[in-house]
Amino acid sequence: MATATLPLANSQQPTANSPLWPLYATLFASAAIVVGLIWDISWHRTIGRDTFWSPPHVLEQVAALIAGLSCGWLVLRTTFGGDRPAKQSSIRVWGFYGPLGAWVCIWGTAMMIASAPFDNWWHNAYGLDVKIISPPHMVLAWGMMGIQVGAMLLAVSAQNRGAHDPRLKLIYAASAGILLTMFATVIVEDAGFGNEMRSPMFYRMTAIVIPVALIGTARASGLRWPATTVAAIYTALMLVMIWILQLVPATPLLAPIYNPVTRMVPPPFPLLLIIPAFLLDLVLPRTRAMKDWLLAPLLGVGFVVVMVGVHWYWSEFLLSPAARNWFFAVDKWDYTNRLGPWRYEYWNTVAATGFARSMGWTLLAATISSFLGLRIGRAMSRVQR
Amino acid sequence: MTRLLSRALGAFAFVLICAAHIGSPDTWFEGNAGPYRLLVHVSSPGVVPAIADISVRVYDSAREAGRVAVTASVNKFDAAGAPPPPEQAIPVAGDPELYAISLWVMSGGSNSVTINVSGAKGAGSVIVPAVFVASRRLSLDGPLATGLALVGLVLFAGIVSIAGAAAREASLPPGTPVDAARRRRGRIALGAAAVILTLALLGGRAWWRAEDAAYRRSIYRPMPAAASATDSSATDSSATDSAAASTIELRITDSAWVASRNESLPPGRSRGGFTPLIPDHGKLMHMFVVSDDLRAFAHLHPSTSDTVIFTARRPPLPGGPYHVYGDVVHESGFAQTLTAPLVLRPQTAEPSSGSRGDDSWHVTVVPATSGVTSSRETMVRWDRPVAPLVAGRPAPLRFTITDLEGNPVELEPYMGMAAHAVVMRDDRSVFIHLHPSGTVPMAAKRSFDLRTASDTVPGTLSRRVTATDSAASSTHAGMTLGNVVSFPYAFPSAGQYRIWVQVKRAGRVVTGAFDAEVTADERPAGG
Repeated sequence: MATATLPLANSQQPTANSPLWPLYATLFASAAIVVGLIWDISWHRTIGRDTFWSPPHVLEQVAALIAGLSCGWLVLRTTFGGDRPAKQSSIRVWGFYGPLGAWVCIWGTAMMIASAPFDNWWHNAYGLDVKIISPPHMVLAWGMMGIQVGAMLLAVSAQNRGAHDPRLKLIYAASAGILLTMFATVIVEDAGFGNEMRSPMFYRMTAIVIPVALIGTARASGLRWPATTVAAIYTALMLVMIWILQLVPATPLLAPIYNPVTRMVPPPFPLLLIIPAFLLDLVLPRTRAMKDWLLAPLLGVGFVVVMVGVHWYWSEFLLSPAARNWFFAVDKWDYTNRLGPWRYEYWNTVAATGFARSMGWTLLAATISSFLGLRIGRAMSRVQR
Repeated sequence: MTRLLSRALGAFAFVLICAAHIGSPDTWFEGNAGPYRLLVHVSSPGVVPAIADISVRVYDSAREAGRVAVTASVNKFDAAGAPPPPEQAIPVAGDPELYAISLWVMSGGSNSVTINVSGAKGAGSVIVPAVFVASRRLSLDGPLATGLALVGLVLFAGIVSIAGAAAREASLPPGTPVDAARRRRGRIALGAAAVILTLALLGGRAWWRAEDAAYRRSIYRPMPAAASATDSSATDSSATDSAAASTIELRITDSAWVASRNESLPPGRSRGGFTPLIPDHGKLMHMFVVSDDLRAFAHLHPSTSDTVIFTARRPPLPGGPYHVYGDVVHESGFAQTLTAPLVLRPQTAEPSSGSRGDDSWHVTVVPATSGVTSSRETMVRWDRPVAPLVAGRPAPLRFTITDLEGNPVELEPYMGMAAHAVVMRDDRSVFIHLHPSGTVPMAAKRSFDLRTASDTVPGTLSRRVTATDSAASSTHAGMTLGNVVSFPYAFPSAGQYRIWVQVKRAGRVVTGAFDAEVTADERPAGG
């Protein structure tokens, strides 16, 4: 655990000479990537047409460069700078020294850059963005994840070495909140609308993705309310994006236009992850002695029960006229949508027996995801370099 | 690893080409937008969605340069939704009449490009139908493939090394030396990461192959068809009107199209994705029968009772291997050329050139160069500049029709047009039917011009198109009938071509046949 390394960290002061700016730089890059992604999705839902040099793409590319260059500098400084404590808190790859997070960031940047010519060829060969999930986009997504995981590893190792510094705990929580936003954005693309919150798919998707992200990051945090903080950062980031995007004038530039929008279409309202996160923060400190394989089903089942309990009824509000305002920003649809009563109806609902059968798999998925989260969290709390 | 990657990439290293008009997917259109006469070229990107490059020549606008505004937008034929706002075309440097614009094409099939021109003479717009289909497969080879393979190799080695180093050292307190157990742990992690990533890459390769296979299935192919010929008992098929005359038949064998003949289906139902046929110049099909040595050529108009079997009387063509090309236009404006091989048995009648009604045929005795026609009274001359013909650049397809003394002659409309032309490459990889208005069938243009938002049921628009087509086929609005005809077109590739030009004079169709050698464009690619 983080506290176990405190005396050693204090005695050697490995963070004393290490500048904090690479942590801020990679945190900024990580945030810029998820902001760029949300902006880019909104761009495609509103304007439709883009280029390699569209503003959200440029933001993501700049973020990749910032992450890659600052981590590259960190590696060169650690290797050749003669900073012995820095070298001693590094890992060695191909003869060079640097923190694990820096290496993962560099790799993520290289993946993102490599995806560009591949994606360009792919578009020429098979068409422009025929599918979001394509091999070059996967290379890009792994690159983005690399930078975000790298930023988090950089923060968590600094936190684990210097747990006395509250800034390090906050930087780590922020990097985790950004990663959770990335995970949630990937689900939200398909299942984030209130209309989906009575379909088994919504609970299946969240059960797969959220526990691993929430538990994995919360367990390694030195904060008193880690999961709640991480979920709050996700919620705040999403709300800011929603409130800003819907202010920006934009019109569709591709045919056919079924919904003539005049402002950027914002993402759906954030999921109420803060509620399961708060409960997680109550449970985790009280179950330290429990084995992971016993704790995982408890957390998994608990997560699904809370998600169903919360979102089943919350979605009623999201579909009601009371949510059709700038604050909740529901009822914002793509230019390609033919508007109709479907906007206020539940989608993909199934009969109670079907829902129950699907829940069996959902509980299993949540358990596995929680188990992975516990293991990742444990490993993260041990990262020193 | 590099070899594995490059072999994986090499599996994609061939290119497949086919298109709506065989081998000639670009759209050329010459016509009026209000007071302006335009030449529009819409390049086909060969894949959808993609960006189509469009160039617009505004004739006689050089003096107005700087004051002419050209805008364009693309919309799908059957889209009930609004088109995007038109976008500004950019004047092309060095050519005061030329404007260029690139537009996104989102949906395959029958689309339209709306061109708006405004200037001192006023404003006008024109709808140019354009078919966009996936027509080619791109290879991944050369420096790009090598570069990507090398980068992939470095990325693979990089993440595997990072995983190994992380397992070895990341959880060690700073300053603690790496012991043997840690080293072993690092090696195991490195190996495990390599295995997992290799499996992931193999999965990625399988995924890529599946995507590629799905794409190949989506590449446009015309409806399959079969051709056959029947021999009459009569010895001279050209002279008899009996039902036993020799015939040439083109039968659509596309099962979805044929099944739609089932009477239990509601009328006007879309047939296997295709809307019903509409007449072009009063004919549901323009059938071209061309011998494989390109010496014999016939332009026929078969009759049909079910839009599945199309039957035409056989003209006195010599025996031998042929290909039949059936040009049809669907209600959506989608034009396609159905094709099938055919073997004609020799007939006792002497092969000859001639015409019967709108049907015409032409047998070349010697390889055509210029001025050879199917008539003893009329000469068709290709006003060809000395400069070689280059693939991809506008071809000077301008022809003058005179009598044998060189005096201008008066032409009559041939199926509503001043002239028809067929361009074919000697290996049959290119076949296209041109008019002075370009590659766009008039029926497709009319289906776009007449379409309203309420035309949601297949078959309703085609009735209006048919009604106006029969009236329009005799007098074509805005058509000038001098003795010079020209066809806006660019040869799509280098090679040997034959061009048949057809006009009508004194009630008879006159065909001129010409050979053309087209050279490759030497300009650097992408320029």
